[in-house]
Amino acid sequence: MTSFSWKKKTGGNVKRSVSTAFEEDTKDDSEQLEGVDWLILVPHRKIICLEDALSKSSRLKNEGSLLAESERYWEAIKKWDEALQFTPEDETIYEMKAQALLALCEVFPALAMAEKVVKLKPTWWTGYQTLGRAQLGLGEVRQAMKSFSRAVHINPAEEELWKEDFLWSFSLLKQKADQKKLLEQEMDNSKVKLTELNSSDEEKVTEISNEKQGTSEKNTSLSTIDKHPHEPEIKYLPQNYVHMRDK
Amino acid sequence: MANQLYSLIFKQEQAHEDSIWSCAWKKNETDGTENIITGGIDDLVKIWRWTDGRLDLRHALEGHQLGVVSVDINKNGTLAASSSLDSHVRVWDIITGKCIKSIDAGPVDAWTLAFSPDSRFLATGSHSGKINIFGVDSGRKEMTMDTRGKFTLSIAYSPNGQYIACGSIDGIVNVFDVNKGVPINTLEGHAKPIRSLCFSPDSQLLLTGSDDNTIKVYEIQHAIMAGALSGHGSWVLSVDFCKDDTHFVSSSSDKTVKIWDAGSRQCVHTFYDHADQVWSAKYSDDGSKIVSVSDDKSIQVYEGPPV
Repeated sequence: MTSFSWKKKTGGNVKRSVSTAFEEDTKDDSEQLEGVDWLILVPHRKIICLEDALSKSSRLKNEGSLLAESERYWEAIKKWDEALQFTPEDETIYEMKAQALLALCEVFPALAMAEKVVKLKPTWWTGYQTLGRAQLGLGEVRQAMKSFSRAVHINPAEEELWKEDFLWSFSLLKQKADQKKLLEQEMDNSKVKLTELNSSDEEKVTEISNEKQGTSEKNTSLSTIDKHPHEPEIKYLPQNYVHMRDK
Repeated sequence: MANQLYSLIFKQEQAHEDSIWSCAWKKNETDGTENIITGGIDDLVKIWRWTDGRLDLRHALEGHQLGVVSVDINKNGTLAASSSLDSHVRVWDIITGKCIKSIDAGPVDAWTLAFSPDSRFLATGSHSGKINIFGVDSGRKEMTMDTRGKFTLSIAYSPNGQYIACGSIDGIVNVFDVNKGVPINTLEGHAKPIRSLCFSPDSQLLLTGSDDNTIKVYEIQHAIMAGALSGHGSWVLSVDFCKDDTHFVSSSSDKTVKIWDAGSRQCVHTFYDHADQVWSAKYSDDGSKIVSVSDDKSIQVYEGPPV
């Protein structure tokens, strides 16, 4: 940065003899000032801010919500990340981010975001609702139930939370319990299947039965999730399904 | 000085598997035992006995399918009642741990509950703002009082059996005359949900704790506000009056439990011992001890000066 000043120019015209005559004096000066921290004496450069951090963050936040409304979630997330640079403690941004990530089926990051939300603000029921939805996305129905319970406990007057999240996931759990019961009955009625499994691979079967009702549980989880076609004859379930986890 | 008067004397870690939402403490008048009931998000109601400065788990009661929102004990300390998120009310025998009554209040029609002083009725708030009164013996809905308001979050019976006060989610308190079943007062002191309210032992004062971080004191007779107390850094989740009529305890989302002097309206002592929101704090019958439960899964017992 160049700035115009008179003094620098005059310094250049001083004769050498004159400047050496004054050398002693200047030395004294510098010795006196040795203890001074020069960094604080450097003049502040003026930074012109058109908006402060808060308003910038809220502007970015609103831009992000607009983008999210038109389903441009990745761009929205970028905006929110930028906003978080200014206000890293704003739980509403994390919450919106979690929702956008959920919409993008990025379940795991969404869960991490939602967990951050409830950590930042444990008295905000919406945070728990989003956390529950993220957990539901991972198949963790029981954990989701817990989160929805917390949300309902904080704000029991929210109709949508009751019906669409809380009671719905409760009905999922019930449905699963019913299916399990039904399957157990079927198992009791026809023991043919069991012997068939036994004959095919003894070790594997004992391993499975050592797990907590291994086979039956996996079978039920299959049938409760509609996406996957239910085939009654599978002996071993492929491992790449999203199972509904219990406990 | 205050530090010497009040102290934490017992801590039960991992009392429940998860957050504890509610507690009650009463002395059983028939056999003289001190019982503490707790209920939490893990669907269990637990009965603890306070003996020799420690808690012994007597019963872990299964039966509720969803989180236990509220528990209460009747006056002579023999029955416990609990309500859960699925609107079931259960009445338990404290000694045997048996479920005596299970009342299905219908879809979303029970929240916090309170025993009447004569132990014959259970009052619970509901989603439409109505107060339902169930007969403990009959297990049926005996009476309904309508606040014409929003969701009833909290409810309290006055010790003389004359009034029921209920606090709603929009911050309005309604006081009913129990015998006539008509509303006598509407107090609009808070703008935010009232999570807890409580009468003084002489039934003259009403305490309310709200999400606006303040506690307010009302005179029932004249329906005037006698004072507002601030000091909590977050929501006030529960309030309870001491038997001596001068002290009361409050618990908050700011993880603290505070003891207040009702006369001077000053905070006498603050406990910082919980690691998470403290959902409930209650006095023992003799007013010398306090129990508190929290999201950090622990139960804590404090001792104060004898009353």
